[in-house]
Amino acid sequence: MSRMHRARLTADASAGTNHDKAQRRHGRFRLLIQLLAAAFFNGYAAGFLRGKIFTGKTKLLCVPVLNCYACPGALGSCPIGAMQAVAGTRSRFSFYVLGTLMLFGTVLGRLLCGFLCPFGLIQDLLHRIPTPKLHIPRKIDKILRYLKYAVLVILVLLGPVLSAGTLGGGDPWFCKYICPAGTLEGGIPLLLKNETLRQAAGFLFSWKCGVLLTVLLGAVFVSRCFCRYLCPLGAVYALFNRFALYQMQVDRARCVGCGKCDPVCPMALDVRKEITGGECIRCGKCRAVCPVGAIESGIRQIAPNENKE
Amino acid sequence: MRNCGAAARGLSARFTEQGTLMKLKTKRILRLCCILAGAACICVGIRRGECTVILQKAVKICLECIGLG
Repeated sequence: MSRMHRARLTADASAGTNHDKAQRRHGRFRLLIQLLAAAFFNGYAAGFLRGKIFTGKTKLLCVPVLNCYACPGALGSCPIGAMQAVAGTRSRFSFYVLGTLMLFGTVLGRLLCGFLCPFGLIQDLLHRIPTPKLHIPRKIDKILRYLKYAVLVILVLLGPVLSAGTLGGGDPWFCKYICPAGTLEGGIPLLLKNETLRQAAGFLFSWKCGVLLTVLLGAVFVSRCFCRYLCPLGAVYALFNRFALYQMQVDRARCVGCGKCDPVCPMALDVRKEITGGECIRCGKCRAVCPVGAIESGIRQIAPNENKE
Repeated sequence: MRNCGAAARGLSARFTEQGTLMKLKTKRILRLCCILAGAACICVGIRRGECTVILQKAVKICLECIGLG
């Protein structure tokens, strides 16, 4: 082996090791942010011990992520729950929640999903379980992604309105029949600590546990399956993602087309084409894995010769 | 012929650049509109008393959310 060849191999190995280190560092950083966010949004630890929910005034603020307000630790309100609560009254629609989502969505887009959502964290952790992973065919995947918009319109917006009488009293359809975060973060901890609530559990609780189990199992085999196909909050933020202040982009001049970004994407995107779209959760895994630093993120203008759409 | 091709590519690049710049401008306008509209919606919502509804719901255990209907 010539000296030049040996030097090149050493340089490549060193670059590869540095690269792996950068990936691991990014993974640890992101996990830390996710854990801190989960602790921040569910900071009322006494609630878990006593089996009671927080009743402070901060609950009139909507947190920007899917975090059930029935969770004993929740310090704020879930925007989806809040939207349904107001939709089920004579008001029929919540401008307050809409405004909150517009502000967060415009500034951060789906960075909220990638870094701050506690239920996203749970899915990410479950996906780390070493099992064979399912690859959903692209055509089916594309169609299924529209399901979350149907969930948003039918269950979140229309359901409470349709089930309400003239004086209100509408049911929060998404929370009642689907939301796995409510079951996991609220239902199970509360029922474990309250005998009265346990006695009241019936078919609906079993149904919700079934939905929760399906979503959690799904997350083991398909990364972020709930975020991709069912989350109504993800659907809302996806609408803002294209023009949100925080963006990710591919520098086409630097990109060598190695394809290392696609397999690591938790949303199974064609990173070079779809990174600026509504489905990217801005987790940054593709940027961490890119060997030539062609993927950038942050709050900056896209230069004219970059990322031609 | 070769000059025509190069000119066409240059023109196309300029249009792509202009197109991208227009997209940037549109995005900026959309962002500003959404931020202003979002702030306005929050004010309207507070005025309509939606915060009271949300707080009243949030400080009681949401039986629907936890599967007790």
